[in-house]
Amino acid sequence: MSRASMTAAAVALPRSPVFGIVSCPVGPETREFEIGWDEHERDVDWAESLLRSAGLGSGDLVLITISTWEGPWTTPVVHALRRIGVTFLCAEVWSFDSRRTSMFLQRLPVKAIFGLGGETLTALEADEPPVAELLRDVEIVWARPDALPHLEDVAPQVVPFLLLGPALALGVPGQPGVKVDASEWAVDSVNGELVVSNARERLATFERVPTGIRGSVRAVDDGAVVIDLEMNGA
Amino acid sequence: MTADITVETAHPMPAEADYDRRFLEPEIETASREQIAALQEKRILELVPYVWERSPFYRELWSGAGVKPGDIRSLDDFTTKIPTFCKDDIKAYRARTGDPFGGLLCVDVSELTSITSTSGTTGMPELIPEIWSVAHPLPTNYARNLWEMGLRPGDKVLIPPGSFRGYFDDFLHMMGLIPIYIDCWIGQGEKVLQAIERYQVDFVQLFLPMVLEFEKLEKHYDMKAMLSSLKGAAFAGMPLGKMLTEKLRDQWGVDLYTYTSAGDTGTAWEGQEHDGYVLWEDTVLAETLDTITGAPVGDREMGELVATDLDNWAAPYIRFRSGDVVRITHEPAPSGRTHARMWVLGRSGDEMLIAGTPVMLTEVWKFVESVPELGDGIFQVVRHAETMDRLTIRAGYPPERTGDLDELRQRAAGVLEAGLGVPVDVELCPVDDLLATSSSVAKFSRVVKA
Repeated sequence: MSRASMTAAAVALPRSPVFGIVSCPVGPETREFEIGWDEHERDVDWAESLLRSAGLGSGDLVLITISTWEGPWTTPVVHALRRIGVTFLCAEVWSFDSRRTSMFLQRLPVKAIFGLGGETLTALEADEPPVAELLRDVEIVWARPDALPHLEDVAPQVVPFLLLGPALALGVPGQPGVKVDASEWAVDSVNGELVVSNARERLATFERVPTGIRGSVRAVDDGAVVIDLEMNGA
Repeated sequence: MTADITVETAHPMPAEADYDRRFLEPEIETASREQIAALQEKRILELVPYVWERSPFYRELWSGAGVKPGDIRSLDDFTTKIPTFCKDDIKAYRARTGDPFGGLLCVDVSELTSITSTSGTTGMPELIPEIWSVAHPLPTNYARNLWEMGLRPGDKVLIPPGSFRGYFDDFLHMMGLIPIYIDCWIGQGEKVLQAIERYQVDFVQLFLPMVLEFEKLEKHYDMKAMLSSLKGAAFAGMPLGKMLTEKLRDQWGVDLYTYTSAGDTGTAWEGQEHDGYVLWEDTVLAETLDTITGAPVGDREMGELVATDLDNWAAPYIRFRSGDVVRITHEPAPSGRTHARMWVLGRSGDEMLIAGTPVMLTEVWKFVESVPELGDGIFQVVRHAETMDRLTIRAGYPPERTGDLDELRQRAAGVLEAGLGVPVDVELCPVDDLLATSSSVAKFSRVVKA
């Protein structure tokens, strides 16, 4: 009985045919596409490898501030954190919920934050304790582009987190640029704007999709496309 | 070490292809009262020594009441000897000891899968430590309810916008449902409406601002046609007023299932009959106690919900005074479900003394809604003292449907004064501005300080 039996009854049901349907901004345009299970699992593998290389391990606490519609990009990260044995904490991205972010940071030894955004930071800056004090002991902050300029000299290691069209791009502390899974995505720069294409088959095919983000490809190295972003703090 | 207690079910699970069955877990949902009581007693007798060994908060609370685990040999012992507590007690413990979990945590932090937190409507959020394998505990608790709504594998669901209680896609996948990842937050009403129609969505989680956005779209869309694919929609958090509920159900044809908190141990949902919220008693032991004497009240009598978490080995609430004033019955539902049903009457702090006259929030709501321009029921009571000479209401009006504000203010005050029998001041505010003061994804404070 109880949640264990609810879970048992549910998992006996057939799995949904696809991981999900996406209807949201992909770069400057709204796109609709499907994500399959195989590609989701590969995305989890890649995220796990990157998060481990960033130094996360079992027993670490990671605060996550994401929107649920970002799941196609962020659920692989959440699943990777679970595989690693990280305990994750959930807060919203909206300014009104910044006190939840603050509460977690004040009460718990958070090692990393994933998805910190400008709206949250702006709200935190108007409140106590100061942001620098809140982030003093946070070892890694994966920050959204609009938060990066706020975090210079505030947190020890700040690296980018961004939705690069259909791909996820993440920084790794101590390493230049941001990384995209090269086995899944090909990234190029057209007149300074990054464009993304499939590198292998997924349910949806993208061909040089504009991302609305400016930058250049530094290298394709060790399974990752390494990108230099043209933005403050990146 | 985390206890992993499995209770054997008396019957095998239904065949997985039996999609026509009414209940996800028929044997459990229609178990006899004797079976439910036996399960609850078994859980309680496991839970009491478990938390005594692990939780400094309960050890202190119970020691103070002169109770030890050996004193608890039955459900009766439990409900008569174990003391109740409220959120202020957790806060006080945390303030005194610095323990972020308020002394409730029964495992090492490293054993936790996730930590979510309460909405924090009335203060700083409280931590909710979680241990789980497939999906967060809160949405997992939705499983029987969404099945009852008619959702089946392959059905499509718009991903709900809030994440502070965890992520829902794992739960939807667990149920064989297909998440549609779309921004359902405030301001996206038209896109959401179009997506429901385009994808023939089966289920959507509604919240008040979205319903109000839909209302504004009425003149541009045939709402009944646009929403016709929905098997059901859920609504929780800010109660939906009578007028909006009727609009959703009768005019737009949406089978609306409201749900509420089960004393912070989970959620309780309406069934198809929409006659009370079902408390899953294999997850919660629900008592109703007199709000003044603390004595148990009878079936369907008004009292405060006191909840015990039967299915949480991380940091269970044990005899938690929820502050919710409810009625509970253990009579079987017409559907054949046997678990308790609950009706929520308000919060224990909702009663106000205005010029010597007691006034309940629900009464205020009724009269606010009766003013046509204020029919959405978006209002707050401005409380500047425990007892007040005049009642001050801050009411949200739709600018596009409102003419003379002074006339509306006077008319609304007149209706409220005549209905409540107390002096009333009405402050008017554009409804969107008032909603923007929300401090949570889903909750809108009905009583605010001046």
